[in-house]
Amino acid sequence: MLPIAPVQNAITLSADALFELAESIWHSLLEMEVQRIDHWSADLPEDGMLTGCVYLDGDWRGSVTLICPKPLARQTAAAMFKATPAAMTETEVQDAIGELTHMLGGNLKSLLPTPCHLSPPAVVEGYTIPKKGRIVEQILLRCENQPLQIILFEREKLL
Amino acid sequence: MAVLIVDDSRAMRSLLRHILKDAGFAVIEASDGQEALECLQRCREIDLVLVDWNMPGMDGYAFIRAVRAAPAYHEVRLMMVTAEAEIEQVSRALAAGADEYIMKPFTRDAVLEKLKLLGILPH
Repeated sequence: MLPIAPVQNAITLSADALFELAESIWHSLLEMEVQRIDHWSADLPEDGMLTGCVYLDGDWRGSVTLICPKPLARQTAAAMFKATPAAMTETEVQDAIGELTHMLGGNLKSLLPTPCHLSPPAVVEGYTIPKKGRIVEQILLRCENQPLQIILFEREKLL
Repeated sequence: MAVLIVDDSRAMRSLLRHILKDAGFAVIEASDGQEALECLQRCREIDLVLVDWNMPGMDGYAFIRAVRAAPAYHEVRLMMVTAEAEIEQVSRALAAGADEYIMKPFTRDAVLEKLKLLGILPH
């Protein structure tokens, strides 16, 4: 689960840049710290995962995927709603993960060739990654002692 | 002083609402541009609108153009709040009539600093 494999870069975007962006979002907006890790060896939370995704379409086509254990997603939502994790509804948790995914995509968009259109975020249950395309970059993070994964996929250009 | 927050994300509206309420503002919320226009019509005390760019229905850019086309709202100040960080986006928003622009992610201090730049908070 949550493997980090060597990947080939096709656009000017490093894992370091991806980490800096994630660190900035979690720190600035949520006052939560993230640390970069190479692998996650502990068990994943039994409550399952949420996957947020936004698509980028234009001269470069692909997607940004944020994969988050549900307990961490709940803590993240609580930080945004200034409430307790237990008070968060499923809708509020999905809204928070969608907004963070959209923020990742929006900031990455500025590093991609123009024109580039950013889709609204979609959030689904489970560990769900796009079936088409190849991984350009990915990072694994630890936040509140739980894993968090961000993957950038590239899709083939339409002719 | 009343501030209208326009964002389709309830989480983002919540973050901004807490910052603004702590700074002493009355806060009204809308989830898209059309609802925000209706808020402006109903509540004449709104001095500032913080508006997201990407929303379903009427987006932030269309909202700003609509507000600036209405003479009744010429004193309302508009600040675009968006995750899209390209300089072209900033230029488009300002050209359409936005008074300020703030990028997501932001800190509480960054939001308050923008309000000072707009003259809404004292320096």
